[in-house]
Amino acid sequence: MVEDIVDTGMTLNYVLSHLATHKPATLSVCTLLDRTSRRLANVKLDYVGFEISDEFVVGYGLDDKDEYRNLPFIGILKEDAAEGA
Amino acid sequence: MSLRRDTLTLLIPRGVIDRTVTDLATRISADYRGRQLVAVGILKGAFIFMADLVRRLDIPLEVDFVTVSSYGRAAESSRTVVLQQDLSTDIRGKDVLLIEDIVDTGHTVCYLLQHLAERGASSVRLCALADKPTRREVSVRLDYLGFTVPDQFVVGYGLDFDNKFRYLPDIYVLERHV
Repeated sequence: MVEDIVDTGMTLNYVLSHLATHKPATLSVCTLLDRTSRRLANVKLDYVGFEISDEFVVGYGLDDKDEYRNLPFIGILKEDAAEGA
Repeated sequence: MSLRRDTLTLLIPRGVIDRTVTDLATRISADYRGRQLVAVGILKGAFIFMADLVRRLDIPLEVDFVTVSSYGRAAESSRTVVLQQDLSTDIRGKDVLLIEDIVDTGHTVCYLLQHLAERGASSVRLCALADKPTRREVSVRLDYLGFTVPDQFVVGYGLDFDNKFRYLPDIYVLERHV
């Protein structure tokens, strides 16, 4: 299972239990980003690209209201910049 | 169970794909500058092409995906297109670019282009990685095209045969020896 970012872990847990019902031989998790500070559910991440702090990140697939997914890098979105102030 | 040996022959190497995707991205960026672009990829085949293409666009855009079933196990394009998963984005008044891996009979993209227009997009265009014109059954306008390919099984860079070979970074012709 390939995920962009693991946050609370709730989504991932749900999907993993769903995939388990399809009876795969093995089930592993590969995530680009891991934001451990927000974790609510206990999930085992087999492959992690980057561990990040509690910042709002966009790009490389990650979005803010469907924007920024196409950026070829990962950036931190600051609210004042987003509002154009 | 029959024993098969599949042969892959290189058709388009990754360097050529890379340059072509960059050229397409340059044209699309110029054409859509100042517009409200939504790129809609057709799963599963378009996922690699779409990921490479959108990361080279230097304009803001939204991305969305649709899933259709058109290829069965027999690798024949069906005239009946089933929309398995629709858009999750509101495209009313936006400029939609439909992204497909390969256009053969044209039925899938024809169906989807009409579907997107009915959903209120202000414009709908098609960008395809590959075109197999020998198999065309309905007329399709390819606004942005990467490659024209021969009437053979082509796999890799998102293109599959029975869900295999999608992950290959180059495009190959698949020959099946039964």
